[in-house]
This record gives sequence, C-alpha cells and structure tokens, in this order.
Amino acid sequence: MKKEEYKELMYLSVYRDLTEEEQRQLDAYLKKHPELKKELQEIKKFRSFVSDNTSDRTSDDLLREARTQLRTEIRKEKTKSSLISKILEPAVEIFQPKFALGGIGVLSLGVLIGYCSFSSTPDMTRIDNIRFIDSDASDGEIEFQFEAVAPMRLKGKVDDPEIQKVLTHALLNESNAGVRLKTVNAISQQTHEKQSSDPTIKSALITTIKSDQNPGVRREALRVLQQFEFDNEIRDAILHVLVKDVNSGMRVAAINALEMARMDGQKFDDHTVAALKKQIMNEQNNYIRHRAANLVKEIYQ
Amino acid sequence: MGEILHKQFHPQPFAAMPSLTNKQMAPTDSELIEQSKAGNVTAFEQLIFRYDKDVLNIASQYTQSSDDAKDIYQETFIRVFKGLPKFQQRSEFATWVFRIATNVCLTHKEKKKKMSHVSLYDEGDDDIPKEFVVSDESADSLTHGGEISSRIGSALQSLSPQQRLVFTLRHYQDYKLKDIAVMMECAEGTVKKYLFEATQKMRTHLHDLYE
Repeated sequence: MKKEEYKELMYLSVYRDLTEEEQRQLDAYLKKHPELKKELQEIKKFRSFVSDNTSDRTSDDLLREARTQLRTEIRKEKTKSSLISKILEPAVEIFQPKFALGGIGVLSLGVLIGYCSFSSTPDMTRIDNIRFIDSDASDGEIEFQFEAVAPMRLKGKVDDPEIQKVLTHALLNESNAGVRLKTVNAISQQTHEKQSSDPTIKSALITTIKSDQNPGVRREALRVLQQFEFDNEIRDAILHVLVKDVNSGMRVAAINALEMARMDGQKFDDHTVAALKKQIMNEQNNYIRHRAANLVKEIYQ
Repeated sequence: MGEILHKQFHPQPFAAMPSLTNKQMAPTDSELIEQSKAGNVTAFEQLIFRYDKDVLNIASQYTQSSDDAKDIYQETFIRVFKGLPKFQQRSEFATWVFRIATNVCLTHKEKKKKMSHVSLYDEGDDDIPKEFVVSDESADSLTHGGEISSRIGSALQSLSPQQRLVFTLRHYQDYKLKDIAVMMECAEGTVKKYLFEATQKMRTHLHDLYE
C-alpha cells in the first residue's frame, strides 16, 4: 500500500469507517511511522472543531415555512394534473367495448353522485375523489372508493381549542385567499378585546406573514400579530418580512410595526440592529431604506 | 445495493397537523404510499413528514443557506409527489426519497447572493451616520453567530458538489458510507475518496482556526 493510501485510511479511521483489516494495517503502519500519529491527532482535532462550531440551521420555523410552501406547490400540481386526468382517463376507458356495461353503471352512479353532491339540501354529505378499484362490471359488481365530507358548523370563542384547530388549519391550508383573510379577521375581532398570547394562533399568524402567497392576507396577519405581546418570535417574524418580503407595502408595514414596538418601550438588541443595517444596504426602495436608517438612529439615541 | 435504515422519525410538531391518538397504530409507509397513490393528500403529508426534516437538514448543511435549502426541499418533494404513482416499492421509500434529495442537491444552482450596489451617500442621505453602513458579511456574522461558522461555511463552499455532499452526509448527518453510496448511486470506494478529499481541503482552509 502506498503512503497516500495510508493517509486516506487515517482520515477514514477518524470517522470509524475502516474495516478490521484496514484498521490493523493502519495501526501497523503507524507503529513504523510514529511521526504520522501527530497528523492523526490533528485530523481528530479538526473533526471535533467543525462539529463544535456548527450551528443547527434547521429550526422548526424553517421546517414550518418549507412545509407551508410545499402544500401550496402540491395544491397547484394537483389542480394541474386532476383537470386533465379527470376528463380524459375515464372518457378513454368508458368508450372501450369491454367497459360498455361498466360504463352504464358508472353513468348511473354519476347521476346518483351528482344528485347527492349538488342537490340543494344544505347539510347533505359531499362526495369527492371517486376512484374506481374495479370498473369491470362483467361479473355484475364494481368497486370504488370516495371521500364523503359532511359540512360541519362550529361556534365558539377563538381560545376554544377546537375552534383554534380549524382556524389554524384554514389559515395554513385553505386555497381560497378570501377564506384565509376572513380567518385572520375572525382572529382579529376576538383578539382585539384582550391582548392575546395564544401560541397556536400566534404561530399560525407568523407562518402566514412569512409564507402566504397573498399580500393582503400577509398584511392583515401582520396587523393582528401586532395585537399580541411583543416578543423575540414576533420580532424575528417582522424582521423576516422586512428583509425577505417582495412586496414593498409589507416591508413598510414591518418598519411601522418595529417603530410602534419601539414607541411602546421595546428595546432592540444587536440582532435587530444588524438586520436593519443589512436592509439599509440591500433595500432598493429609497423610502424604506430611509425609514430603516431613521429607526436605527432612534434605537441608538 | 442495500436499503437505508432511517435514523429516526420526527414527530409532527405543529398543532394544525393531524395527530394520532395512542389507541391508533401508526400506518406503515407502504399503507401511506397506497393511500397517497389513491389521491389522499393527508396520507402523502403524513408520509413525507417522516423524512422531510432530515432532507431539510441535509439541504441546509449542504447549501449553508435557508433559502437554497427550502428550494431543494420543495424540488425534492414535488419530484416525490409526481413520481409516487410510478413508485413500485422495490426499494424502501426512504431510500428513494434520499436518492432524489441527493440528486437535487448535486444539480442545484445556488441563488446568487444579493449584492447591493446602492450607496446611501451617493443619493444624498447625508444624515445617515457612517457606522450604519456595514458590509453584508459583517451583518451576516452578527446574525448567524460569528466568524468561525462563516469560515466553515466558506470552506464547505470551496468543495466540489460531490465532496460537499459526502462531507455533509458523513460529518453532519452521520450516515454510514455504504448508505451514502446507495443515496448517491456510486461505489463505496468513490464515497471514501470524496470524503478523504473533502476533509483534506477543509483542513487546509481552516488550519489557522483549530491548530
């Protein structure tokens, strides 16, 4: 074995990735070349150094953001693919002669489902996502599955856990921006009377201002978040908007929120000042840049 | 090639997500795959949320950037979503997901770092004190915890994509070499070579900090 190959073994031994035979060979080589033991120690030192100085970059916050964005993307993908497949696939199959009988069955079933789904009775169960497991009716039977969704009505206060569960779900998953906006408004009306501190709602609002596609919903969520007691989580969310939001109106709202917090007596640390300074450097909008600079000045005063 | 033994399952940390009561048995990957194939998005989420934190961890360490990590995460799971109807379960789901994730990492084009060419003074903002104008690097250092981790990040960026990925998977994520070889669809010897080269280069870049 060449010297370079032993060197490779030294590196791998630090990660405990040697076979018994390789370790034995390396040990024998190091006995003959004790000067290399120092290098082995340095490699070990290097490994510990990198491990000790690496921050865990994946916070729950980042994971939450990534999941919310993924949900949006999947929603788009589903809409794209289902439109085509729902129309074309059954049509192609149904017109084949061997599925003719099944086709009649499917048609009858369709009429029945259509009647069930769209008849005007308001509390009727809605049937969705019908998929055929066996559409061949030659043996007299067909098999399919579907999702039956019954409309539910829920009434209660915003701090009721059941209500919160539905509200946060709507805020994070509802595809209709209008519904998301109404959800934020509902939270707003409840939190307006007393300063809220519910962590579930707060967390959902923070996710919304960071990742909702609709600036109107984000703006409203930020406004409601300001009704919560100001803390580091809210501060970081506002800084995130200031630094990352593509909508300049949102960035102005973020500066306003920080200014309001400062006027309420909040003290800002180096983290906030650094983020503001970074924004002064990167911001393309003169007004926001100027406001950020003024805010830094006021913090220093 | 073997299957990756998944290191740990991550519970769903958010209240808005459906949770299982003690009385219910957690469905297997295989069951969730079948439900997902039948169009059940909740089952799909339940399935991928078992692995997505690991994917995000790998992407974060590999790119050293939250934005790039999120891009890799999205790309990986959109590919999983699109490819699931054709997934035959000949390999473990986890193996398949991590193979996709490593492929996405290797082909990922990093977002250009936002460079500012705006001078506040050029535009007549004479009232902004000079100490407010800081370099992007120093602001980053303050935000992300110091010069050392920034130096480690720079050293990682100097590696080739393969070297960086192997280093990330072995050093930070503690995957075995044979598992990395499965993920990257290459020989274990090749992985060893990448790890050796990566560690050597990293040592050269950082020697003044730890020696």
